[in-house]
Amino acid sequence: MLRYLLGRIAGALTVVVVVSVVTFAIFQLAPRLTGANMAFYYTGKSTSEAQAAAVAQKFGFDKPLPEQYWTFMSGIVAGRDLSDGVTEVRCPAPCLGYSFRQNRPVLEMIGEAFPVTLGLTLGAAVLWLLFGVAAGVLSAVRRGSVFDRLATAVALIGVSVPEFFTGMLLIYLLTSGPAWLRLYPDGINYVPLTEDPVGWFAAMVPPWTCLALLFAALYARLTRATMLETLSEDYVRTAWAKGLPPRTVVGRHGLRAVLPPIVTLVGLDVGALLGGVVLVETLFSFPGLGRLAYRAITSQDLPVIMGVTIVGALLIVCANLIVDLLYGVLDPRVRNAR
Amino acid sequence: MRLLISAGAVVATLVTAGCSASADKDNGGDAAGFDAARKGVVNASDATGGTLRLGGTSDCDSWDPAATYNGFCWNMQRLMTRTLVASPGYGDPARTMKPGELVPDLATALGESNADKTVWTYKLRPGVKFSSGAAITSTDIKYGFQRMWATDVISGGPAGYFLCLLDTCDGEGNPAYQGPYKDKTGGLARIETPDPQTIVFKLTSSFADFDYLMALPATAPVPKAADTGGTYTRKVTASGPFVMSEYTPGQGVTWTRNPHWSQDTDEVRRPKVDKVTLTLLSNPDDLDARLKNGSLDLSAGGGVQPTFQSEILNTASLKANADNPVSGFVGLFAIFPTAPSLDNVHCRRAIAYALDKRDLLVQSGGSFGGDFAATLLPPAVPGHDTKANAYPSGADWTGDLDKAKHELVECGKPDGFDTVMAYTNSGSDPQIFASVQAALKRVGITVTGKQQDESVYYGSYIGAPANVKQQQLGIAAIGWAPDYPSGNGFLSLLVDGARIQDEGTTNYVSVNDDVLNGLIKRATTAPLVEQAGIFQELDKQTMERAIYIPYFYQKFLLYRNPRLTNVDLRADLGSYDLVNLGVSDGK
Repeated sequence: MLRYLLGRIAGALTVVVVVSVVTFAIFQLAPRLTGANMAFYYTGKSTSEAQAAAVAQKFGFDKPLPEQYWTFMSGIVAGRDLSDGVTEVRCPAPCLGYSFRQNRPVLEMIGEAFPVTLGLTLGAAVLWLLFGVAAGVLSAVRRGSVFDRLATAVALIGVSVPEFFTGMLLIYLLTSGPAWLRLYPDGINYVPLTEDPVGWFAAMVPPWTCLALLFAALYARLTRATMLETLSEDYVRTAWAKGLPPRTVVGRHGLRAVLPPIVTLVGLDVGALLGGVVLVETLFSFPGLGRLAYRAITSQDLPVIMGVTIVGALLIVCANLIVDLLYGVLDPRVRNAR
Repeated sequence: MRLLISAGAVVATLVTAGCSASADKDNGGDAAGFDAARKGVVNASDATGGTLRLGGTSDCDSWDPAATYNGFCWNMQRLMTRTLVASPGYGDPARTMKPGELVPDLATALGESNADKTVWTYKLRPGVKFSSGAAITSTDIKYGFQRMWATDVISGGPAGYFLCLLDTCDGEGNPAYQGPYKDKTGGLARIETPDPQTIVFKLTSSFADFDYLMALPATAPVPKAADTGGTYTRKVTASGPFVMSEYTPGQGVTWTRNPHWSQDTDEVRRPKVDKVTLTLLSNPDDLDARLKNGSLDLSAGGGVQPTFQSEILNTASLKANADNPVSGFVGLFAIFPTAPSLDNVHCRRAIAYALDKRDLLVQSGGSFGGDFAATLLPPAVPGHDTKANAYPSGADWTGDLDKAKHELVECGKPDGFDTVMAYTNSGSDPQIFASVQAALKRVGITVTGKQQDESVYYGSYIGAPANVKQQQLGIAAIGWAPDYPSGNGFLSLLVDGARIQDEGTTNYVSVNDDVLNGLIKRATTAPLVEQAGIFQELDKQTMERAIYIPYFYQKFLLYRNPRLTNVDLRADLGSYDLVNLGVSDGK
């Protein structure tokens, strides 16, 4: 198990390094290809020429890319002294850069936004797993029943309707819809969990629902298909023949076989969403990583875009690592494989 | 310098807007109704207390008064900063407003100038204070100016108006003074403060519009002790009735009452509420939903989205709480005489006649998104001529093809010609291009398009005469708005021969005409009362040369919460005068 664990961690670290190299290269090369002055991406369009020159000199935009990359990575470990050409700023380790547009370290901004995205993602994941897997299992067990047909129809709708439509519909109905549905007359406003847990939960329900509707449908379809396949296996038939109760057959023998692909998918989905639920956060104006990234992109705040991208990639890698480890727990054949 | 955006972005951008309300305002209006705030004050009331809840979809470029250049931010600056002079206080039924009117604010009177308009003197009111409790002196006013010269720290604002007007500049327009951070010796000798109540500006050249410049938020006083340079945006020291008490970038702002502001010293503002909040939402439809359900009172930025717009126009109860003012933005085309064929004025006029302004209006948002434009000066700017129309587009505004063809014959191109049109990739610019292309095709003018990113469009693309020539641009779509309600802040920038420069010129067509230059020069020393006539003539002369052709004056559909009191529209910005709004329920 230890060997398996170390192997996976080494793999994950390699991926993180590769991602950081690629991200850095993309964001440093793209402006050069379009002939734009890199300094303006750091300090804004209204930057004076003198200020831009000072920034270019400070960040060493004229130096070879590997040297710039090394400086960037060193900053993550040891921190950096940065400048917008006017203000000297100490960006403490781990330094992912500094937004001179907002006069704040990127990591601080990410640190504020991450709990919002984490809450959104985990809450939605619980919902979609609960409803998706349960609906999938029931559909498989009662194949052909009214419930199965209904669940299939609902899943089809859930998969087909995009998040922005569901989100807008929820916002409209819950804030301006019929009086009996107007549960959020003051709008759906994010409240930090630490300030007001009840308010936080209430604010989270609509975006959770919006996200979960899409994913629950996908998971219901996946669970149903995998469950049907499993229930037709010989060992399940044997279990039925032995006279085991349905709960044991379905729960212990059937569901266990379904879990590995579900866990894999959850890991990937949660990891991707943690990197920023851009659409949902933008729709509901929740100050998470997705909205942070969106604002950074629209204002061309390069340090923030790079920081969010690297953190997003890191989260996906971490989620995959956890999935790999869970996979080992769920299926001993995986951890013993060479 | 100017506030400008692409013609297409004009439609969607929630920036500043002027309105034509003032001219036809009869004041004292009270009942709500469609366009009621254009005709008078809606729900006039002396009730105080409560919170004014504003919504917006984008944060200000800066809350530092010297670093902001967005119209809606200028309107909100009025909550917390005061200037020597200002636009009048709206929401006051007793006041009669005129287009372009200014009134004293921190000063006791409008600027007193010498005969050639090069020396301007202002006296400060006694008893005016910052939110810190300190008295506002002429030194604080001067320090607010000095910061603008620190272009390496304070950038983005309208400093371009002041740098060479109040300091000696080199041939490239760089002033000698470097701002208070680099030059701690005092500097900027052209601003004198003989005593704490007096400030004297000694200009490098005549400038009759100087009072208008003194109304820009960038001229607000800043106490040196509270100046934090580039981060002043996060903690502005207030001189107005509200002070920024909470600010989360990108999420919202809360202003509470400034305990040191006194109504006795302020004739412009009559604040009624205790608190003002600005909630920033990334979803404009969510903002509209909140306006509709009353959880927000107003959009600080501008008009509503098309979905809500349609709902408002089709629902009597909603429509009664909406206004549709003309903004200061003008959609126009620059016609470059440097392009092949277009060096002939008749070819340029052929374009002017052949444009389908009806379709251009449709592409720009329809009749509630704008009005047909026939002059360059928009309705809110003194000198706007409601009767002028140099190139009538026919009774239905779809173009006068006979006259266009006649002009082509006069030009020596009876079968038309080929030309290139520049436009941005934002807003409805691509549709505007398609409309122009289709309209001109009717008379044989073939237009091909060159699309550019908006970030470089005005500066280095159409703003660089060499590039215009190299690309053989014949037409360019432009969105243009006055920084202040004067022809000087709008039209002069477009045609002043002295403004031709290698890059970033605002004289896009590089016109250097003695008649136009003469009118501009005359305006620099003429009394304000004569300026409307001068700029009307400048407008007429420019139109005759067919170097700029306007096609629409932008309008916004604004929605106001029925609980709001003292609702009135600002002629200079075309949005509600936020600082004087009250709420009827006291909440």
